[in-house]
Amino acid sequence: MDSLVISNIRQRPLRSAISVLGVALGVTLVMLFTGLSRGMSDDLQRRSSNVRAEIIFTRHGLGGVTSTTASLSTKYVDLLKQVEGVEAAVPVIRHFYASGIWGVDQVEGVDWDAFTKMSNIRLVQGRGPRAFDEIVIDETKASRNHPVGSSLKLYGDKDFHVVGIYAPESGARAKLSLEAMQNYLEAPEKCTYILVKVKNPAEQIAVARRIDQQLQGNKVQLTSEFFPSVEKSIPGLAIFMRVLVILAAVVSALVVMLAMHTTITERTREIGILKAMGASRRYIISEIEREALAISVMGIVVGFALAALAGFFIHKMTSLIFEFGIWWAVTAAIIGLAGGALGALYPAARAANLDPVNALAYE
Amino acid sequence: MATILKAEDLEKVYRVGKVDVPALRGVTLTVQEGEFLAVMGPSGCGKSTMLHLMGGLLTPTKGRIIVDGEDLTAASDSKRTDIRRRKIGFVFQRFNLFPTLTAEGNLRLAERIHANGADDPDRRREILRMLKLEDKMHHKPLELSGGEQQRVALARAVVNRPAIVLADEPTGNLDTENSALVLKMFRELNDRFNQTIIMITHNPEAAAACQRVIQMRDGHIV
Repeated sequence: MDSLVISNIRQRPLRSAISVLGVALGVTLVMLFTGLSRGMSDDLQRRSSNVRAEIIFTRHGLGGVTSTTASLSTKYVDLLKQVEGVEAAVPVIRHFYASGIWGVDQVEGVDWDAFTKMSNIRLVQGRGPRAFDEIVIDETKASRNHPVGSSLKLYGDKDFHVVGIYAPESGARAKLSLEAMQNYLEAPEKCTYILVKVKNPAEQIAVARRIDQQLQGNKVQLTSEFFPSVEKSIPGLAIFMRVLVILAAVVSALVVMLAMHTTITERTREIGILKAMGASRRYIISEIEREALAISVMGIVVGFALAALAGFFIHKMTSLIFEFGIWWAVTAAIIGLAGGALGALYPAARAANLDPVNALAYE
Repeated sequence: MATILKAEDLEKVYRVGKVDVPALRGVTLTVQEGEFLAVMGPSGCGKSTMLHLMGGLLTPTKGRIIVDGEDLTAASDSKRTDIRRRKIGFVFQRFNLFPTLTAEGNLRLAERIHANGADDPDRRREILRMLKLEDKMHHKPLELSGGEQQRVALARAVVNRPAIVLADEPTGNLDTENSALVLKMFRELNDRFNQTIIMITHNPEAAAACQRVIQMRDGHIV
């Protein structure tokens, strides 16, 4: 098609490509960060929902997805079992450790038999951990080249032998025995929290209140409140996301503004010709805006492709999970388009107000 | 014949720094419909300024211009642009084609500007055929000779049937042979379609092709 917009974009392929990448960068940033947030959040929710305990018992000042200390006494396990309505109480230590050069991963220390009974998880291969250097992992972690009999490094260079693989995923993807974790953290008879299963789920709130009254000075939460979305548990994350979205729009707008400004300077005489042909201000602005929007559309497509690729490779290399949502994709597309349109507006207005005689004489 | 253009006591003064430079000092001119008029004069005599005023690209310091019954001087910038779009076609010395569009694409652009997206391929082909460019329709300007480019520029200027074609040294960048060819095309447009043409030229042979020649000097018609 003999179009001024298309032909102008094709005339300067390198500059057009850089402009497209500038828009794509904004789109990719939005998609990657929101995809990561959603992926982590949904993954956390998924694994938390398989915990099956209705109540979590912790110390005051702790709780939430970032809590990793083992400062709660396991003596509360027996005390909790005595509360009316409680069916089972299982202590858990949760701990984060550095995983490779990219990630942070978590491991739990549990009484394996009690935990599996409460959580409905089952071993699909091997057996539960007994020795201090034995570990069981879920199928997702096992699929990353960790079969039964292989080794995992935790706490620096310490080797742990994979003795079992379980499903479905529940809590941390790797579990040691409770005693092993207490040993490594030098926290005997301690845990991070205690999972409490009630006899009748309909009475979970009443049981929680009873626990709170009988074992005062501690924190009693429903599991559904304890494992919130990542955004809610990290308060700054929502602000970070908004700032990121604004930055993405600004990046796109600045790149397009610079590209259009350069384009117009180079094509001053062409704009003079358009004016001599009777092109109105509105026409000139619309032609430049159409070019900017064409670049933005290409940038959005490239941005989505880059985000998908980056998400795929980051997931392959780390344990991070990406979930791309349709509404964030729409938001990223709007940001790309709006950034491009707004970025081109000033150069377009300048072009429309050029003096035609001077523009025609421009070399 | 009807009067297609009337310029009354036109003056144009340019402000260059703190100095006023008068380019036109009171020009009065009437052009009839279908006339092929040449404007000659030394450099700096005000020919191009007068052409730009006639085309609504400049506003006069004093005086009036009426093009096909519409007063350019009283019009706003957007109104002048509108009059220019409907009633004026420009041909420039440097051709001023869009390098990224084909010959037909340049005409198509003129149509789009004129009538907000109108598309008349038959009209475009008819004009290109008349100017002996039918086999150059899909060529870009870089693939055309100087004479061919200027004929494409002429085709673009007349595709929307303007009241007047304003040509600023249309043969200035052409050799003798191509100059003669382009002038022949101007004459043919004038003869066959009664197209009014006002042409600035230094070339006496180009002026000889016209029906009337006016001489300018120091901002006046002499």
